[in-house]
Amino acid sequence: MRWLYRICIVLVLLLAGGYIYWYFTRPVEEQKFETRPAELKAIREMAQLATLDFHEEMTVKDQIDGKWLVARMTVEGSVKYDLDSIRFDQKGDTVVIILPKEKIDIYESTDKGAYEVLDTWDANRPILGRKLTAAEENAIKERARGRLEQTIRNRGYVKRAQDNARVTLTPLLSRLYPDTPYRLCLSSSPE
Amino acid sequence: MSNILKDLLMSRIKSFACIMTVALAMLGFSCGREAEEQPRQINIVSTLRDTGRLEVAQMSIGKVGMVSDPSFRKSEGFMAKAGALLDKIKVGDRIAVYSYDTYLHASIDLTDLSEEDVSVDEENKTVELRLPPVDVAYDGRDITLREEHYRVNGLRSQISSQERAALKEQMNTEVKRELASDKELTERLRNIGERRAKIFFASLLSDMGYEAHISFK
Repeated sequence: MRWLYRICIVLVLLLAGGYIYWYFTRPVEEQKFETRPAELKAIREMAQLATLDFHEEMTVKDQIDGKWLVARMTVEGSVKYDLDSIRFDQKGDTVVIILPKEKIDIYESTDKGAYEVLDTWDANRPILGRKLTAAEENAIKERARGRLEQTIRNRGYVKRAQDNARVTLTPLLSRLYPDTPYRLCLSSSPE
Repeated sequence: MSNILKDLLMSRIKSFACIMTVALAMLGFSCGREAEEQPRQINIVSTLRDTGRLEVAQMSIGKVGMVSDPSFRKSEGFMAKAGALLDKIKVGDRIAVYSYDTYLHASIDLTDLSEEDVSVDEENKTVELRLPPVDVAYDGRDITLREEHYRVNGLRSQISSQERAALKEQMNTEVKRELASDKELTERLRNIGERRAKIFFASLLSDMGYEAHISFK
């Protein structure tokens, strides 16, 4: 009877050990969430000249109310000019074509793994810390977007986009104004 | 016997005191360390591409997803069903609904437009313009995630940033798969883009005093 009791204990321990081993070594399945089919929301007609595309991979470390977030973000964007707001002017015998101020569009990339949360913690409560709400996380991401836009302006990307606009529009304009002098100006440019 | 018990109790108390001292020291250390943290943003990879793309239409696609306890009936496999059953007996509810938009544009690459594609008849004041074909591509998706509904109560844990990121990743994969399998939306965007391009150039050339005849390569 004592032997049977010992065999049962060994069997139970082997089963428990085997289960624990399997639990920690099994392939991690991605969590499946419930979603709805994608829906068309709007189609907007426009005429925007994009002259510079940028792709940025960055790490963001920021906090709100002591709740920290460290994340890796991949963003993509363009420097664009709204050609619906293009203006024509005449200065003597020269046609002046004035482009509006540039617009910088920034989106999160649709590539796989474009947004990855690396770490979060509550600096004010090391034990039972509070979690970041969606609104707080959005605010941190919006701040990151604002800093990136400023970086793009500071790096001289806008000047490069302006030069590209001139290069892109020249073939069309030179055919339309073969004998008339013309000048392409940008409203944000000092000259 | 009582001395043995007393010694055992004392050694247990000393062990507990040591553990608590170490734990409190670690807590104090971590508190002090986190007080030094500063916000930082580091750009790891920056890529620039010169382009001359005229975007004539943009489409926004909405996607909604939910963080909630998995349904027992819909769960597959022993572990998933066991997990769903465990969630059922937890105290409280945990449901959150999020959404965001993905953007696509229809555009013409004006760098493909050469002087040979523009024929000007000064006598009749007409212009023959052959535009490059309209291309449809992704702009990207919203950086933020809209919280449409949030209800976490009882003894349930709050929804974490990691869960929201995983949900967005799954929704992103599904949006791309749905758009790839159903071409109707992208074709609609392309057709609207072609129409808009014709209207734009006709209007632009009209302002310059020309009548435009526009076609696509």
